[in-house]
Amino acid sequence: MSNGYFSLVLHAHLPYVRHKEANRLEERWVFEALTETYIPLLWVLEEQPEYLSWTLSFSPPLLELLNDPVIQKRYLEHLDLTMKLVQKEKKQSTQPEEQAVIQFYEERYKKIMETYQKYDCKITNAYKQFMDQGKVNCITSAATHAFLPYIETEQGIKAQILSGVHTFEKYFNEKPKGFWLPECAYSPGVDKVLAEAGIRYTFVDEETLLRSKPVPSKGIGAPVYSPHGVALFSRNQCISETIWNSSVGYPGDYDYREFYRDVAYERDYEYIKSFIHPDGIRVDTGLKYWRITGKTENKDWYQRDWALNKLHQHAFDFCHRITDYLHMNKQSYPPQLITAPFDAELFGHWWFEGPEFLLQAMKNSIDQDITWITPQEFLNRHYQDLETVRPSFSTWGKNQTGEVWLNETNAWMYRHLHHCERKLVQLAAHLSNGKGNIVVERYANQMVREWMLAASSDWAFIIEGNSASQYAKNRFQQHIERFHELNHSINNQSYNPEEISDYENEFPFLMTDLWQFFKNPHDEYVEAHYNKKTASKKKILMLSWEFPPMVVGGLARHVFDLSRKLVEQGSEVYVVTSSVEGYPEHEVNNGVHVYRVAGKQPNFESFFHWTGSLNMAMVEQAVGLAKKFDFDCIHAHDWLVSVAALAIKKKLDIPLITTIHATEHGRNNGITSPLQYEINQKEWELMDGSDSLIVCSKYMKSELTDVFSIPEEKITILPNGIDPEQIVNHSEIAFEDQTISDQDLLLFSVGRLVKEKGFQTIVEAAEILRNNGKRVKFVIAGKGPLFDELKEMISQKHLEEFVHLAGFVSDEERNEWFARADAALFPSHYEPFGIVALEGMAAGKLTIVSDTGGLREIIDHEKTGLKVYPNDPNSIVWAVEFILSNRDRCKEIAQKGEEIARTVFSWNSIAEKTAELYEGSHKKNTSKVGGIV
Amino acid sequence: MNLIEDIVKLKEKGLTLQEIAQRMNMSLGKVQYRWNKYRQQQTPLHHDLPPEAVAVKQKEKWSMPYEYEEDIVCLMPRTSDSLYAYWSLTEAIEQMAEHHFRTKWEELPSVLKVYDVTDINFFGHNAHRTFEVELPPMTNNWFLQSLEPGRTYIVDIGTRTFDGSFFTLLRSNPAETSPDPYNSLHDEKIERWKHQDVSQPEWLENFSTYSYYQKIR
Repeated sequence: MSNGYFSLVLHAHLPYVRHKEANRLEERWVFEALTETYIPLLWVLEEQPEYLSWTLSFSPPLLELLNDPVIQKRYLEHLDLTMKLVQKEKKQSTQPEEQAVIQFYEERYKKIMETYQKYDCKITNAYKQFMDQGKVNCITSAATHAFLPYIETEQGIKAQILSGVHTFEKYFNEKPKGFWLPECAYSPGVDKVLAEAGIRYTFVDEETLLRSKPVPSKGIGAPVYSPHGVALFSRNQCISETIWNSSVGYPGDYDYREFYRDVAYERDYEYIKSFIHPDGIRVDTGLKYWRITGKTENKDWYQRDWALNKLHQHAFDFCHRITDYLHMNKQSYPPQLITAPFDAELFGHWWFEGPEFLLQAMKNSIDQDITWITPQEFLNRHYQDLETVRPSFSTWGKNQTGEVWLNETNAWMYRHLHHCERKLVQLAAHLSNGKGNIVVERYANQMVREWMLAASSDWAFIIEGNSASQYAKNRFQQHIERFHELNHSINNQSYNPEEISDYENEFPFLMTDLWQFFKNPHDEYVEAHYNKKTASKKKILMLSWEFPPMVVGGLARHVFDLSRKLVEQGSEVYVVTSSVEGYPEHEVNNGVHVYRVAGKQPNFESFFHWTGSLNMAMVEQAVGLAKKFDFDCIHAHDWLVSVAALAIKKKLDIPLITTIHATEHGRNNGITSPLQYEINQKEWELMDGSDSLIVCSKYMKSELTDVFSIPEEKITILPNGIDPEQIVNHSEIAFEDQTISDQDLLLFSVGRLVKEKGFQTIVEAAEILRNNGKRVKFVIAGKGPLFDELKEMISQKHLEEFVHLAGFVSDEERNEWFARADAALFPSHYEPFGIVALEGMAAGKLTIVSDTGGLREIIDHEKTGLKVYPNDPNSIVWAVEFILSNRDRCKEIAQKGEEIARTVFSWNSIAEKTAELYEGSHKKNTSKVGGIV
Repeated sequence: MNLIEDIVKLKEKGLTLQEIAQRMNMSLGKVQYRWNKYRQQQTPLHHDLPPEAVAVKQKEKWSMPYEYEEDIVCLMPRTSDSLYAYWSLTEAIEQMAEHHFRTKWEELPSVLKVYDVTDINFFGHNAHRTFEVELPPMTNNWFLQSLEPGRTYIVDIGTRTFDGSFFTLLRSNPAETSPDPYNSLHDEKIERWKHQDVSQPEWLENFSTYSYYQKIR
């Protein structure tokens, strides 16, 4: 019993080089590999010792090529031609050494022909027979030998792995248990798809295990399981080197046949022309009469007996090294395993004597008691003895990295391949649920084929290596272009059976159903549930930076009330707003679809750039939604969504309606800082780019026409609405505060604590009233940047008893305050509309407002409320005194105010008018899309 | 005349001239002669076409572009100290940047920002380390070199605000540099995974199930 196991693994692969037209140079790659490797390896199997088995991987392109009747025919012709050349050579040869080699080739080609015909030209059938006898274990690889870690989508990986498996099944009538990772390229996640495909084992580089987390305790002495349970057998570099190494490996021995000398280049053109390419290009005939000889251009004749003698020595040495290695690296349990994977074509094609070497090594192994084992058998015996680790990305290429397949020469390819993958997913989404037809599905399958053929790792490898790089570039480009031409035919609906037949005949590769791999359950769901055509309701895309629960000013409330009323009246509203921690990215609130999005830099310090980032995210969301259904129009609110509104308008080509709630110019009474200037610009761009504008008051309309020179006919005045239900106080007397009930009069104010709301005027008024001995209490609710300043002002004036800063209040608390108060007071300096005043009125309270902006238009002085001068504390004092001396009259005014608020300013009528505006708005050609000013 | 049509038909089916000769019971030389003559006649035909017709023909053929009209940054694993990123921006996103900054796209600096996001649920501001690369004009890909092994990275393509802050336009997928050999003898993540303490792997699996309709509803 030996100290461990040896496992030989060969991987046979050629890119798919079948061309419809004959005599393509690349087709000869198949002929050469058949002559020198695939058929000689059958001879090894015919003669190999009993109870010994090894592993052979056939890539799917090679399986397709070897089973292609056109290729089979052409190969027979190729053999005929070569045998003719042998006869011609025989006649012209005079030298005995040469005659001996020719004699050797004559017999050899006869045998090749016999073998090929014996198996009816179906080489893979022959291998299947030997597999059934247990002499070889065949497995397969990815559909077109794609470099799997550089595929972008899981669907793409699945397509490559599963159709590889299916192709193998087609020719071997059973599922493969093992899988050859193209270029031994592993990356986390590949193993998941392999496991799902029923694959039990695959091969990686030695370094893959050494770079794993954790490093396996047996190092490379035993296979490991990947996280998803696929056994990974690692290449043993020390043993592989004896053959791989270009300077010290066996194949470089001077007695072996020289690969680079062929009679094609040695004979006169006239003599050889019918045996080389019809265009006169000299290509290898396969007749190579010389040995490597040494580092010289003068090559000696190939001496068959010398070569055979050498391979006996090398086979002996090889087995000795294996025995030594196993002796030096004893381990249990499991016993030490040497896995030696190679390109199959190395044996025979590159190293002419390779197959015979293998046969000899097998015979020697029996004598030296080396146990050969296949990975499959190893797992049967030791599946319980393997560790699980997580390996990282690695390959068997240079430095075990991806650099051979991704460098300055070939990196450009991946952009195109990934683009195809995404297009295929998109196409599969559209074709799911039976929406395609048989012709379109053929187009889709051919598109997958073209992507697969372009994705072959060979092209990147060849381009990197510079040999035949033009062919590789052409093939890659050809498949990418064909992919897009097919896609265009589908998009233009110009598809037809003749065209697709032409495409299929050009590359009749994997003629099975392939597009299904690119389906995605999520996309299928969307396709099944959304139908662009049948939608009858108007779909409104609403853009607002704030929306409940994010309430900064009155905007959130406005958008919420308007949206749900629109929904009630039969529209569909999709609000895109900023994300709020703890709130869902998507919810349906009162029938309104709310999407909360975050910019890619949600903590951007500058508020202006924060909005820029948010706008990008809003566009992404809106455009994503527009893939599923068509919006009828966009309704934007204020400059904060300007960039998004104009970008979406351009992208979706639908009307843009904008409500301007306030302007930077109005808020600051002019534009002074650079930031105000930027905001002012955004406002203008938004107004200019909108098809229709809504403002809440005549006051605002004149601001737009005067300050921004907006044409009057573009502006519609629609007041803000209120929902009286929101004002109702449900908690009768929730708090009983002695300090408050003592007062003669309680005035309640609410709003954001910013300068333009004029709350500082209240403090000044309170001081005058206190000094006059009036017991009047002011309650100011809300938060904002002015909080500290107000607080300081109150304490300096010792007004704590008279002015109470309530801070942020909930809607319920606000309603309680309204219920308790004698009057509501809103002394703003600037107020485009003044929704809070309406709330005061709707709550049935006497409402006092500044005679400014929109407030002025809401209240009829001494009929529906009281007006005071903005920024004038004495005016507030006047109002207080008016109330104290006209209690009954004030009650009447309050009642009248409530009536107006509940009718004129009801959301029902406002939403109806808004919907009418949507209806009437069609994109006006005159309105521009904003940009640089 | 019919003779050459038959030859062309068979040729399109993938037959060699030799096969065609056999099938049509002609000598190979004769078939070759006919075929070559046919090909000679075919080539100059193009020159006879009016220039417009040629142009139209060329227009129909789709040719591989330098990049696509799509917003994407893709970051790919490469070695233990390098990654590769390629990207493209649509006109729409360029216009949004122009609009936001009120500056022509050509005048906006192009910057690539690299984030080390190893074991972080990255949201834009919480990377372990970051650095920025000023991109030359007309660049649409970059090899990131001298990175740390065994780390997870994300890159942003963006520009700069007037005060020099980085402004993100597009963000890549995460990608890893391979760890050095013999980097760890124990791994918590694989332990939790083996004992089914977690339902999803806690490490990066390279492939996302790409969905055309990115979000539900």
